[in-house]
Formats: sequence, structure tokens, C-alpha cells
Amino acid sequence: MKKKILVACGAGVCTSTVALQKIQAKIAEQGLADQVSYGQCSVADLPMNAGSYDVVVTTSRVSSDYGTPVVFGLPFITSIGMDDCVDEILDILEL
Amino acid sequence: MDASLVFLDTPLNSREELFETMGSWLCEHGYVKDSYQKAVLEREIQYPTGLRIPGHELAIPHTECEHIRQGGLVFVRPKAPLDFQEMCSGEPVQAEMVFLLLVKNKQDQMPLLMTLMEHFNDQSLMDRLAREERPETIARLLDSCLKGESLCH
Repeated sequence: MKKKILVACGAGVCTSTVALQKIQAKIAEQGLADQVSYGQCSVADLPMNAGSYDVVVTTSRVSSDYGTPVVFGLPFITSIGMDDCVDEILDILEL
Repeated sequence: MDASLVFLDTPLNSREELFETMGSWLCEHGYVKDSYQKAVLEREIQYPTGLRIPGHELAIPHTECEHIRQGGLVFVRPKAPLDFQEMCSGEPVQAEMVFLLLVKNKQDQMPLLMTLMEHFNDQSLMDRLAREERPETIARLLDSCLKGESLCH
């Protein structure tokens, strides 16, 4: 079964799209493209959606507990520490 | 992109003042609607856009397309850095450069952001943007960064 990554930002359009593209590229680099599927939403829609994903990557501040591990995706925006962030995601996904 | 969208040494004391001053200017010049000023501030409070990159701190405020009349990139380098908060962490950021992203069509926001962010890694470019005295040079630098992307409709 594919692992599922949900990427979220303020409006679910802008910075999450940037993060999503970078994550997809990194996952593909590792040869894992066919093992992962993706979703995208706004932070406001996280409570509704997070439960059906294995990990949430967000570029916005969130404090709630969604029952799904949350990774802060700022490195995908600044490109600083991006590889560590990818490792963190892959660890959670056990890939 | 046109040189008038570069503002250097603007005397501003806060992000609120930035949005007020720039919001009025952009509204008068047909770039945004009246609603922009309030919308961009509210969004910045809820979802901060400050970023820290090596050697520089900046912010990329943006808001929903419905408040925008004409797409563009506005570069503001205030006289003194402005207090913003970092995306994700909410930690304080002293923004020395502010990029206001005016995106009229959703599908354009992504390429613009992607392209802009690729260049945040270019230390020599960021150093030049932080120091350059001529607005037209900054406009030219930004323009070449964004070349190939359709910004204005």
C-alpha cells in the first residue's frame, strides 16, 4: 500500500504547492516515487483530512494534534535543511 | 515588471505601516483592490511569511487572488528592518527586504513562488538586492530571475 503525504499551507494553494513539488522531486530521486501518494489542502481543512494520511507536511504554523505526525516544511521553501526534512518524512513513513 | 515596483529606503516602522502605505499606493495605481490592505495583513497575522536565509531575513506577504487587479512583484527595502514572524515557527524575523507577491491567477502563483524561491539560495543575488542603490538595477535583476514566467495580465 502506498504511503500518503498531505501537504498543507494557509490557503492550500501557494507555499504548499512549492513544498509538494520539492517533496515529489526528492522522493523520486530516492527511487520511491511509486510508493508514495500525495494530497494538498489548507490548514483549516487539516482536521478533516489529516486522519487519512501517514504524515502531514505544513508550511504554516499549526498547534493542534491531528493524530497524524506533523513535519514543518519550511526547508522546502528556503532550501535550507531540505535533505534532513526529507529524511524525517521518510523515517515517519518507514521508507 | 516595471521599475516603479521597486521601493528603496522607504521610511516604515512596522509591517502594518508597510501594508497601509504600499496598499494605498498599489490601490491608487490599479494593482490591487481596496480590500487588499486588510486582507494581506490578516493573512500575515494568521499565516506569517517571514523567511531566514543565510545572511538575510525577508518576508513574502501574499493574499488571495480576488484582491488583486494586476499581477506583479513588488520589492520593498525599508529604511530599517521590519518585524515579521517566520513561516511555520512564528519566530521573530527582522525583514530587510519584503517581496509583495501580487498574483491575479492562482495558476501563476506557483511558478512565481517557485522561481523566486529558487533564487533565495543565490547568496550573491540576495546580497546585491540588499545593497543595490539603483531601483532600475534591482528591477532588472528581479526581472531576469522571473524571466519566462507570466506575471502580468
